Amino acid sequence: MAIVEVKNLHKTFKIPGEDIKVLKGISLSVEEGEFVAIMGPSGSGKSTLLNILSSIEEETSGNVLLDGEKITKDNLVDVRRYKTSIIYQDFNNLAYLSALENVMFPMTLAGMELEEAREIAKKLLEKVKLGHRINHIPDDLSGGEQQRVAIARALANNPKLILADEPTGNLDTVTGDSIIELFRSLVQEQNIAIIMVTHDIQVAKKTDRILILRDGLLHREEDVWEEL
Amino acid sequence: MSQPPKANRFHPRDRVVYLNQTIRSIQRNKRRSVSMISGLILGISILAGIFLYTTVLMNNVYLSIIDGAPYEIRMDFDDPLSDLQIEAFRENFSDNPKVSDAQILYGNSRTIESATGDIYTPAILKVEIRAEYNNETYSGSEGRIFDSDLYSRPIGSALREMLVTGKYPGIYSTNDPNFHGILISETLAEEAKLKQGNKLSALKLDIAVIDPEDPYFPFSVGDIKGTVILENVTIAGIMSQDVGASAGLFTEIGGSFRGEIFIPKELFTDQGNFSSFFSTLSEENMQYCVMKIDESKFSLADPTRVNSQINQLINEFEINPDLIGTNLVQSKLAPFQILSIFIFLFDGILTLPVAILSIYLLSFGIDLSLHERRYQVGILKTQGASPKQIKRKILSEALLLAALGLIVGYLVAIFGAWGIGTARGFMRWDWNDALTKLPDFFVLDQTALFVVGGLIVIILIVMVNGKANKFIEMEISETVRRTDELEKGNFLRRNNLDIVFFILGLVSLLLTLLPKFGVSIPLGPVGPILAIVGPILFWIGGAAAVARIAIWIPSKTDPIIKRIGFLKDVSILIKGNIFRKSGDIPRLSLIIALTVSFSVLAAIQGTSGQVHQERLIVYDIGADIVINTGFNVSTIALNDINATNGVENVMAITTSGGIIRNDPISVHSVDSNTYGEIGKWQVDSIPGSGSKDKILSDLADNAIEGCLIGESVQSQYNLDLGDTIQMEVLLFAWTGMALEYEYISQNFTVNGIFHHTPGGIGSSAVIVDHEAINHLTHITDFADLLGISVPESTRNKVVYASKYLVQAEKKADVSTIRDDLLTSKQVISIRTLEGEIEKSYEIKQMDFGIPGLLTADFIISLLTATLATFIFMSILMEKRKKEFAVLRSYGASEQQIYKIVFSETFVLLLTSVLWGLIVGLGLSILFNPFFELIDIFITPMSALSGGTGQLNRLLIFDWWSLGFTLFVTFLAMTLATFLSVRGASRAKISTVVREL
Repeated sequence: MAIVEVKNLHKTFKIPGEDIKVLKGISLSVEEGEFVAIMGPSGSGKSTLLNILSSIEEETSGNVLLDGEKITKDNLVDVRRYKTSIIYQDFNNLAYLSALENVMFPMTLAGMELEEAREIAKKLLEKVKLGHRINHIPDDLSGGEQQRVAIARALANNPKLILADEPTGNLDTVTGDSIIELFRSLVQEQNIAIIMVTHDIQVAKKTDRILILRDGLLHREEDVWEEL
Repeated sequence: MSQPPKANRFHPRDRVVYLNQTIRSIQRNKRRSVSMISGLILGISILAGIFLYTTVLMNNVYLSIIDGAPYEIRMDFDDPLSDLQIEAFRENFSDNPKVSDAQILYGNSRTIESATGDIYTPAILKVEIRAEYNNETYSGSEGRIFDSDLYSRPIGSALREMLVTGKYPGIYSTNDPNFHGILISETLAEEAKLKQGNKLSALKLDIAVIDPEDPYFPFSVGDIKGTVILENVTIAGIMSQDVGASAGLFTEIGGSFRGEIFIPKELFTDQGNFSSFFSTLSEENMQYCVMKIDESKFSLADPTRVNSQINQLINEFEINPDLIGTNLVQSKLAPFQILSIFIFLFDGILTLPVAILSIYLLSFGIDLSLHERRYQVGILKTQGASPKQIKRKILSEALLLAALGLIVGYLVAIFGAWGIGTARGFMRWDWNDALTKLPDFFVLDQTALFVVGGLIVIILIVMVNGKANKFIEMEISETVRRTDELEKGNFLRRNNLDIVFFILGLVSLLLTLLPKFGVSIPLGPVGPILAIVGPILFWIGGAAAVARIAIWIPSKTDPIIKRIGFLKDVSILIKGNIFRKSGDIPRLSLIIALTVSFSVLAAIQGTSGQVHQERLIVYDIGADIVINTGFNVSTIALNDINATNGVENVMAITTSGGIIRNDPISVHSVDSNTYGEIGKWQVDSIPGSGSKDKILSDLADNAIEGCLIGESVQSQYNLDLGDTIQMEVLLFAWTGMALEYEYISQNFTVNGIFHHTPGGIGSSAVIVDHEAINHLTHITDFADLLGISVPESTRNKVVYASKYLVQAEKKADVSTIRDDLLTSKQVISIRTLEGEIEKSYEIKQMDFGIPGLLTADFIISLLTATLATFIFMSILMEKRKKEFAVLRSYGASEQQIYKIVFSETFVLLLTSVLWGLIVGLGLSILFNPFFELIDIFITPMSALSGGTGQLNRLLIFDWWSLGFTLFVTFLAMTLATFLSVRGASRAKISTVVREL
C-alpha cells in the first residue's frame, strides 16, 4: 500500500513583488517499506518537497495523502506524532537533554508514561548502538552519534514514514555509510518507508529508488539497479 | 590597472539610499527597535515631563496667584490729597502700559512710619450694620469704598468674577448687574448672619480714628470724624478673606482683603452727602490706589523676574516722593520661588528611578543591536569596513529611532504632565476639571526639547561608541563563529556588590525601625550618611540581588512543578535552569524587581500621603462637626445645639494660656466623660501602649486636680505619670462690662500623656477637665475679683468656650445638621469633617502635584515591568524558536509549548514580583522621613485652626490594593509572556529548523 501519494503538487512562495514557483506539478507515490532518494540540483525543490511530505510546509495546490489521509490542521499533530518523523541534516537534538531524553520526548509528548518511554528509548538507543551513551548530552557526542540519536528519536513513536533531509551531509563518508546501513536495516526489519534527500550519488545508490527533480518537476525516476 | 575610486563623502542620492537601508533595518529587526524606542520614549517622556510639568505648574500657580489677586500693586499717598488730585494719579497709573487697571479705594487701616520713627495706624472706616430681619447691630467692621463701577473695570471685573462666577469657595454670585449692592467678607457674613441677597435697612458708615496706643485691640472706638447712612443696601456678594484660613501655602486669594465691606461709590447718590463724607476721608488720608498688572508684559514663568518687574514698576512710580508702593503678591511669590526649586529637585528624585530604567532599556536595545550584528560586524570587517563605518550604521539607526522617540516621547510627556498636574490625590482625578485643563498642557517648551533631545543624543553616542568598540575589537573568526556566550552577570553581581549594597541597605532599614521599638543606636557621623545613601543602596542592592534569587528559587521548585499532573507530558522538557542562567533572565528579573518595588513605594506613599492629609483634617476638626461661636459662650447656652435634630452629643473645648516654670504653655479643658466618645481619636493619639479611655477615665476621677500632658511637655519638664506639677492657668470672665482675666495657680497631677487629641490639641499643650477650670474660676482671688460667690455644691463643668465638638447620630445627614445649627444665634461658623476632607481634594496646589507624581511613577513602573517582560521574553523565545520548531515537528502541540514556557517562567516572574514587593516595602519605610519633610513644607499648620506640631506620617499599607495591583501586574506580565511565546511557537518550521 502506498504510504505516500502525491498528485499534481504545486508550491509557490510569495515574496514582496513576485511569486516563486518551486514545485510545478509533481506526482509520485512511495510504498511501505520503500527506501527512496530524492536528488536534484540546488533550487530544484527537493527540500520543499520533503518539507511538504513532513507536514512542516503546506502545499499551494495538489493532493498529498499520507497513509491514505490528507493532512489538515485537525490531524496535523497526530500525523507528526504517529505517522511521520524527521531526521535533520544538522541533527537538531535538543542540547539541554541527554541522548535518552531526546529519544523520550516524542513519546511523552504523545502521552506515554515516563517509565514506559524510558524503557523504549533505551532499547532504541541500543538498537542504534548507543546504549552506552544514553546519559550524554549532544555536545558530548560525535556527529555520527548525534545522528544516531536523531534516528532513534525518529523511531520513538513507530512512524510509518521517515523523512531525512541530507542525513549524511555533515558526516564523513564512513559515518555516513553506517547511517545509510542503519536506514536500510530499518526498512527491512520494520517495514518503514524512508524518503531521503541527498546530493551524494553514492548514497543515493544505496536506496531502492531515486527521484530526480529539476526546475520543480520530477525529471526522472530511476530504479537503482539501472546505471544513472 | 586603474584603481577603483576612493570612497569619499556620500553623494546625496547615496544618502537617501543609506536612509532607506537604515529604515529597512529598523523595520526588519523589530525586537531591538522596540527595545530601543521603548527606552527612548520612556526616558524622553520622563525628562520632558519634568520640564513641562514644572513649567505648567509654575505658570498655573503664578497665574492663579496673580489672577486671584484683584490687584498686585498698592500705592499709598503720603499726604492727604483732594479728589481731583487722586483722580489724576489714578489716570497716570492707568496710562502706564504695564498696568491694566487702577482704582482708588477709600478707608482701611494701615501702618506707616512717621518722621520720628513712630508707627501708627491712621483712620479706619468703621461701619455699623443694621440687618432688618433681626434688628441687631454690629459694629467695629472695617470698610472700603470703590471708586468705580463695580462691574466694568478689570479690578472690578475680578471682583465681579468672584460675584458672578462664584469662582472662589464661599463666594455667592448674582448675575444681576443692577444690584446696588455691597460685598461683605465671610467672617462678617457669619457673624452678622447675612447671606447674599439680604437687604440691610441701614448701613451706617463712620470714619473713626482708632487708638494709636493700642492699634490691635479692635474694640476701642476713637473719635468719629464723619457719618453717612445708606439705606436698603443689598448684600451682592460674600468674599473669602485672606487671613490664612485656606489650606495650604497657596491660599485662594482675593488679595489683602482685610476690609470687610466693599461699597461702590455709586451708592452715594446724594452728592452732598458723599462729598462731605468724602472730604473727610480725604482729610484723614484714607485713600489709596490699587493696580492690576497687564500680565502679558510680565514674565509669569519666572517668579524672580515677576517680582523684580513689579518692584521695578513700583520704583518708577515712587520717583514721586509722595507715593509709597507695596508689592502685594511678593509675599506669596517669594516662598513659592524657593519651593519651586525644591519641587523641581524633588520631581527629579521621584522620576530618577524611572529615568534609570529607561536608560537601561535603551542600553539593552543597543546591546541587542550589536549582539545581533556580531556576525554582520565580522563579515564587514573581512570586507575592510572601518570601525567608524561600522559604528555609523548602528548609530544612524539609533538616531533615527531617537528622532521618532523625541516626537512621541514629548507627546507622552504632555499627557503625563497633564495627568500629574490635574491629579487630586493618588490615582484620583476629577475628570471634568482635568479635561478642561488639558489644552493648557499643550505647550512647546523649547528648553525641554533642546535639553532632552541633546541629552539623548549624547547618551546614544556615548553608549554606541562604548559598546561598539568591544565588538569591533573582537577577532573576526570569533564573530563569524557566532557562538552565543552566556553573560556572566552584571557588574554588581560579578563583584558581589549586590549583596554588599543590600546588606548596607538592610542595616539602614533596621536603624530606621529600631527607634519605633525604643532602641536607639548612636551612629555618629555615619548616621546621616547612611540615612541618605541607605535607601538607594537598599533599592539597587535589593534589585540586583533578585538576579540570584530569581534563579535559585525556581531551580528548587522545578522538581515539584514537573510532578504536577497536567505537566507530565512536557516534564522532561522543563529545563528552566538552563535558560535562567542566560544573561537575559537576570536582567529581566532585575527590571521587574526595580519597577515593582518602585510602584509599591509610590502606591504606599501615595496612599499614606492621602491618609495623612485626612488625618490632619480629622485632627483639626476633631469630631463630625466643629462649631465656632466667635466669642466665648457658656456651655449652658448651647442647649440649642444639643436639641438639634441629628446631634448626638456636644462638648466644649476651651483654650487658654498657662505657665509652667515661667514658660508659657497652652491649656485646654475638655469634658473627660464625653471627650472619648465625641472626639475622633487616631491610632497614634496616645503614645506607647496607653489608651485614651484609660487616661480620660483617670482624668475624670481626678477632675479638679488632674491633667493630661503632651509628649513635648513631658520631655521638656521630664515628667511622668503620677508626677505633680504646678501650673498657672489664665482664666477669663466677662463681668458684663469688661473682660477680666487672671492667672490662677494650682498643683496638677499627670494622669496621662498624649501625642495629639481631637480638636487640634498638640503635644506641647496641657489638657484639664472643665471642672478644673470651673473650680479655679470659683476660688480665691479670681472669684473675689469677679465678685462671684458660688456655693460648693454648684460646681460643675460649665465653662465659657468658643469651640465645640459635635457628634452626629449614626446615619444622620451632617449637612442638614450644619444648616440647622447655623440658625442658632450662638453659632458663627461651622466646619464638617466630610466637607473639609472633600474640599482638601479640590485644592491640589497645596501638595504641588506630589500625589500626581507618585501616580505617574506607579503607572509608569508597572507599564515598564510589563513592557520589559514582553521584550525580554520575546528575545528568549526568539532564541528558542528552533527548539520549538523541532518539538512541533515531532508532534508537540501549541498548548504544550505554552506549558513548557510557563512552567519555567511562572516561579521566576512570581519570585521577581514578590521580591519587588519586599524591596518596595523596605523603600517605603526608608523614604518615609523624606516624605515627612515634604509634608512640613507643603502642608503648613496655618491651614488648621489649632494645634501645634505635625502629626506623624503613618505608613498605610493597603494590602488589598497592593495585592490587587501586583496580581494585575503579574497577569500583565503573564500575558506579555504568552504573546511572545505565541509568536515563536507559530514560526514556520521549515524555515526555522534550517537556522544556525
